[in-house]
Amino acid sequence: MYRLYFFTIVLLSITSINAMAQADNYVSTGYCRFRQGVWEKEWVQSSDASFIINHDSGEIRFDHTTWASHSLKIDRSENSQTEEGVPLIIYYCTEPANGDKWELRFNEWTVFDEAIYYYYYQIEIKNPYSLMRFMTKKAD
Amino acid sequence: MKKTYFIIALLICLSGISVTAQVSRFTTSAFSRTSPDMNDNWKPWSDWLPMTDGQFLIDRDNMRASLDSDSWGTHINMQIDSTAESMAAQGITLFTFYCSSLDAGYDRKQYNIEILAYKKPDVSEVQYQYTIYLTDLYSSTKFLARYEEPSE
Repeated sequence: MYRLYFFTIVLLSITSINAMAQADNYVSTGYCRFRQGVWEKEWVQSSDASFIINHDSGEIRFDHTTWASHSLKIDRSENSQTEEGVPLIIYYCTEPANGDKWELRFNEWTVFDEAIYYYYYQIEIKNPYSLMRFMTKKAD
Repeated sequence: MKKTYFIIALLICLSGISVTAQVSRFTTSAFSRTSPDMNDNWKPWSDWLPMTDGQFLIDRDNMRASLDSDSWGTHINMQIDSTAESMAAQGITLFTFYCSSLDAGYDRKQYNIEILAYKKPDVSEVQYQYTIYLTDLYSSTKFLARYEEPSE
């Protein structure tokens, strides 16, 4: 009987670990746009956008409170770095619904204030219609 | 002769430090905001966002301070009415500047500028980082900033 409990607990643990490892959720804290050939320097606070990056299924989901949602298939990813030398992952994607090509650039943005580190993740999206950056943090 | 050179060099160094300490320039890298709620309690600070074009100037010689940011369309000129210096915590120095607006139409609006100077824990070299608070009656914005060494 104890052995059965043990195996049940082990199985539950493994499945929950897998469930956690499958997808990373990010919610936006702000955005900035690329307009007339330059990045706007002003970042606007906004929690309207969210991203789910699922490495296991190779999919990225982009949701926004007022825009259409998009499900993207990751075609390939590439490791690079930002101008400041921060590691950067570039996801090259296709939106199966319409064949649009998307590019997502993902890098960590760390802030140290007095005694605490704050971890954010910048996600830059480029699709046939827009180019913009979201600052995000991991969803609880 | 060597002693004379030493004294001259020392005097140059000291005067340089004194001059550079009078006008301090800071460039921002990030900001966070708060404001009072309905019960006049300050809300939690917002998440940090990048802000790379903010320029703070503290001119102790002329008792002037300013904040300029083209992206925000912010240009605040202030008179420093009084100053204070204290320790906010171990290893964190706090400089406070009590200011009033010099800009037309602001009717001597009061601002507090508080500058915290501290070292990042995992950086081996002696490198200070600054958190600058700009507070008025209705809002407070804090900026992460780096000190701009004077060119000459």
